[in-house]
Amino acid sequence: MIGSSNPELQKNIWLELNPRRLAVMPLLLGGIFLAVALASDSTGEFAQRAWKYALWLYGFLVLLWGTKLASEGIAGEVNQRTWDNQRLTLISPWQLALGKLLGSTLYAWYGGLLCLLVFCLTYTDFANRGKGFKVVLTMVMIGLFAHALALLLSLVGLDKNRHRGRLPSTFYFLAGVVGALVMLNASLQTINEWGQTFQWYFASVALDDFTTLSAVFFCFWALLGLYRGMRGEMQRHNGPWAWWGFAASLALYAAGFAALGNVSPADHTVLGCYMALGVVTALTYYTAFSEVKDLVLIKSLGDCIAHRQWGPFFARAPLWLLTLVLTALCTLAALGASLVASDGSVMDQVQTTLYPFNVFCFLLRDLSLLFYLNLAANNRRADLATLIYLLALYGLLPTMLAVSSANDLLPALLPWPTDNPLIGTLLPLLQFVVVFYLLQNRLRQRLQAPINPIDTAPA
Amino acid sequence: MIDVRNLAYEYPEIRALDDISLQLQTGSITALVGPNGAGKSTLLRCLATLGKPFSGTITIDGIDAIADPVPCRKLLGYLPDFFGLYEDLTVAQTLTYFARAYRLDPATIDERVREVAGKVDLADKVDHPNSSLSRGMRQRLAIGQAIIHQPRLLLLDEPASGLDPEARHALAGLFLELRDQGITILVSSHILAELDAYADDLIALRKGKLLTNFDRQPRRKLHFSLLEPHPQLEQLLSADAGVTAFRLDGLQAELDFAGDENQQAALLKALLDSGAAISAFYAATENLQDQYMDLLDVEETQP
Repeated sequence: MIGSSNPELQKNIWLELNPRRLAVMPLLLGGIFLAVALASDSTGEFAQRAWKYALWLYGFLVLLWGTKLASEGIAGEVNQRTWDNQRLTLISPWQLALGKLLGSTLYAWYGGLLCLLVFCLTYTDFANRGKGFKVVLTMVMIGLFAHALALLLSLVGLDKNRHRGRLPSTFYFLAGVVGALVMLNASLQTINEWGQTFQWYFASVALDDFTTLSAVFFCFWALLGLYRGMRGEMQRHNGPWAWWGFAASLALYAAGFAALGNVSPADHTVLGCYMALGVVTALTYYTAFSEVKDLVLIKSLGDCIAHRQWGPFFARAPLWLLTLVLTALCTLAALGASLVASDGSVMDQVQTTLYPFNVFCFLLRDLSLLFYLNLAANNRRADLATLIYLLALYGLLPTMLAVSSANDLLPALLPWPTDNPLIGTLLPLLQFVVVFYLLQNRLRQRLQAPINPIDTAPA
Repeated sequence: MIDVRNLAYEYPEIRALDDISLQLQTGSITALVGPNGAGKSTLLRCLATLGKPFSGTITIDGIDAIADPVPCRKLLGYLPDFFGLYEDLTVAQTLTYFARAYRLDPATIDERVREVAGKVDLADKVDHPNSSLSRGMRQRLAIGQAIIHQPRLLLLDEPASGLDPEARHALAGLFLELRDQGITILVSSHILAELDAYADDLIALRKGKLLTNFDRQPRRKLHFSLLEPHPQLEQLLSADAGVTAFRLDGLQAELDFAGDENQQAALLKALLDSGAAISAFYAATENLQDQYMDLLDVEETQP
């Protein structure tokens, strides 16, 4: 039996599949395709319509409904208070990851695979049969990616919500759906532009191959992330390498698109470094906002550093910190590439050379602000407060400067290229130093404050 | 079985466990008591390898439970205070799932499921969905899933809360049966009278600190009433080797007595010979409630 080697999958088979449900799905889909057949004048027309309907139904069943089920896979266990029992068992992280990934979405996949079967049977209008295979493979990968992403993000969110006892699933559902839609959009575009090529790095790549391989690439990392998330939940140590591998490969993946704009090889390198920097900067922001930022973690990391316990340090190190290392490296790479590539005036060189550093200063300032607010005595909505402050810093203040005709000062508030390093570099650096100073003071106060004995246990 | 050294666990700004050191002997039932928010559940979660302490060590049967939690999980079963069940699974499916999740030999799972269902008195409910079970049955099933893999250590957080007296009595019987099979049990509860029925040892927590951990040797208390004041009473009691402490309240006396039956008879005889007009006399064994309240008194009198 399919679930015989995986108790989690077996449990989901018990929960999700029964004779009635197994019969309902093909009857429902059969009814829809029968209606399509009746509305078609010929077999050819039916085939043309049916494969499109099959893909849409697949999208609804697997990408929408399946992602909803996946987002509830872990949240449901937490909210029903069965999650700790699972964490205590000897199920391996892979078994639990695959059991949840395929098990919680089993019924949606049942319907989705029936749709793909219809697609394969009706996709006869194209000379290239390999195209059908690639579309099916891409669709399956997008489905797995969306489900793995929803599960993975709920695992990340769980760490932050653990003491609340409840884990809402809506955000993870929406994140999975957005991820799926982005990939689905690229795939549908590929179907329309089949056989075309584009420039990625220095190679001309077939769009259809690239789309399929991209889906495999993202699916692989989402699955690996899910596995490592499960390992963490089961109190097993994760090293930093897989995360660094993911962030670096994502940065390299994005950097390849720098070649799209018909640029010289030198500019391609600079642009590629900037794109990589953009990716790792965005990852740093996302992870910093999504992870736990409490004093216990900081003390624990400080303890590891004080005792030079680098293994435990990297096992406990938050992802934002790991990503920040890559961001610093990308900043250096972008600075170096700009320096080598720049052949303009001195001011032009300063402008292009220092811009990555300016971006890094803004990032450090924002991270310092985020931690400053999270380390406040009343920090219930510190992340939201930080977002509001950032909105003011990046939106309101620049708007006020713009309407006051003080556009020259904008680079002090936005990572905006400028030929004035005093405004573009020194002022962001100063902002970082001030916020970091405040953060350092607050951290010192918190560390020196007496720790209260427990009176009321967290829920 | 368990050796905990200098365990500390922190929530932001709150130290939930502070320098806890304790040992549990194999094959004992230890009561974990303390007021709400004392840190009992946090301690149990740490011992169950579900929470990573800030500092300290936990050794379970010689294995470092913090560095290497997975092998410990074979050895322990845990019932949290607020537990959940898969409502749509049957009792048999639930037990089978956990048997497989704990990697029991597939050939023995059916037999083990029947055995455990019988042990927790759910043999006639194996094909019923969990959603149809009563509160007591759910509690027993949760214990069943915690013992399905024959753990050597059972951690139970408020296992009897919400149960009726009959179900509590049955639960106490089950714990004694498990202890007789060599399972070490650590059980937290607010209901001290219930723990009295089966606990060998007592651990008390208050504000994250351990008050005590000792072999439970309940003290015998002697009570007597006098018809009239007896001037030599205090002197007599102070001189008796079996009397470890005494409290006099008018014509009432309460003694902490460490002697045996013969010494007790000798004391009574000495009192009567001295002319004490004793109108009532009885002996009682100190219960957990008394022990716990004494511990709190000692704690409060300490600087």
